[in-house]
Amino acid sequence: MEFSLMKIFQGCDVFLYQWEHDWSIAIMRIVLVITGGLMVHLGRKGVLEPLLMIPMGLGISTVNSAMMFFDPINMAKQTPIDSTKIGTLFLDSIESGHENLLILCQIEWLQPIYTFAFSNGLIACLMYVGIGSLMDVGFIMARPFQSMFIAICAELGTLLTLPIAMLFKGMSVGDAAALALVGGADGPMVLFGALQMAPDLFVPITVVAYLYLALAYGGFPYLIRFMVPKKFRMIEMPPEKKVFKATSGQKLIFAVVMCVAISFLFPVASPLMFSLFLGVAIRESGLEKFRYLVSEIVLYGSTLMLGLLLGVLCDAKTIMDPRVLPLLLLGVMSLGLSGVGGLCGGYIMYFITRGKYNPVIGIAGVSCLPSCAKVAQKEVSDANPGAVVMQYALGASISGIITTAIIAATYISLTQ
Amino acid sequence: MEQAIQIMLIAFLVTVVVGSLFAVLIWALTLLLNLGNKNDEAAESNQENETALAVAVALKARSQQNTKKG
Repeated sequence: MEFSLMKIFQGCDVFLYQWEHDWSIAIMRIVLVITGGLMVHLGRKGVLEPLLMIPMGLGISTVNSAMMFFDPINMAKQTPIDSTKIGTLFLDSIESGHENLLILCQIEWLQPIYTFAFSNGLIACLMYVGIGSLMDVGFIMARPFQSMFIAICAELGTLLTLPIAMLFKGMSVGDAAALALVGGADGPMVLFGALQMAPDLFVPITVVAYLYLALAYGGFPYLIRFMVPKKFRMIEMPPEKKVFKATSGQKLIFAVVMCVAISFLFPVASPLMFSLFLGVAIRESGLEKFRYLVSEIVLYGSTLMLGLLLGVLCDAKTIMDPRVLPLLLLGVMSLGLSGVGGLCGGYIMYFITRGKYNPVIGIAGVSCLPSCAKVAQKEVSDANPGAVVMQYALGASISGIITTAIIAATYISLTQ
Repeated sequence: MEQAIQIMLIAFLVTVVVGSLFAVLIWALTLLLNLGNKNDEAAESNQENETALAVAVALKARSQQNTKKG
């Protein structure tokens, strides 16, 4: 009987094969395994968003470890197998043929979730239902103009990245527009936009977007400290004389009116907007059992699956794709510019109100609900423990979702 | 490139116009709902006043009856 240690430990065999044929992929695998571990560590420490980073980091480390010689399609069809084809038992994001997808769904364990929930945007919609059920629209109802102004300023990256991305060779208008949506800091919206405008770059754009959204949690505090001196960060918001406190019934009416209005004007954004306002409607109509279902089970279940899928999509071959490097650079630029735009909006409000507005609130316009609002409050509390800006920040964040939906719908309409 | 700049400018204008319209819509809706709230409160307050008046009248009548009996 022929005996080979390499045949028993298949991972070593694959690694040596890659090292001999394309050493850069082998090196990248090691880098990604370490990066995944680092993401888990930083998520655990709370530096990065733990809900997304822990499953994503573990997914990256594992998928880059678990490579083997694997040709599932030919294996299932009983046709000659390509013995040098490398794959995993997780999923295949490239395959699109119906027959082959059906075969993969029976072999790769995450393929059914990827095919039936991720690549059609369902997971994004489910997350929006959950986010909606946690969202108090009373904050935007109390100060609509202020919130909308900040949100429009915080779309700077979403707008400017589109022409800048066109400077990169080989990028189409659709690709550039899908990538520019990263600046809206709205994960589900990027997923949805990429699916519609850049199906070829759907996987890398989505991975880049979520990677940066998690990094925004750790990076925006530095941007705030860089752009807003402590004397501005510690500004206390003056007590408001007449604040409209909406009842549940009024918030429900608001949700219905807004959902219908946005869906009427931008039908392409309606699946996401419907999902968001469905969550709001469930919250405000007092359906406690539904609310528990969407805010606890659906939201956290989708987040876990999303993190896991994003992690396993980050295999060395995808990351080494020459089209990914510009995406990494442009993604961070888009998000950074939106942060700068939001803070500039905060400064404009500061001057309009003659010093009675904390400019840090501007960062919350970069939606990413509720992370950016939490970052704004944390930075303000660090400078002045008595200052509370959360209600203003949440209003701006909710408006940010609406403005990103408007831009996404406009981009989708104009690029198709 | 030119096409990208055009799309960006159109998207910016659409966002500003529609965003402002939404802000106005939310403000108007809030105003209407607030007005409805005040009307409800006023109606509720009137009803309470009427009930209080009816109780006071009834008590007065009863007290007068008691006085007569006494």
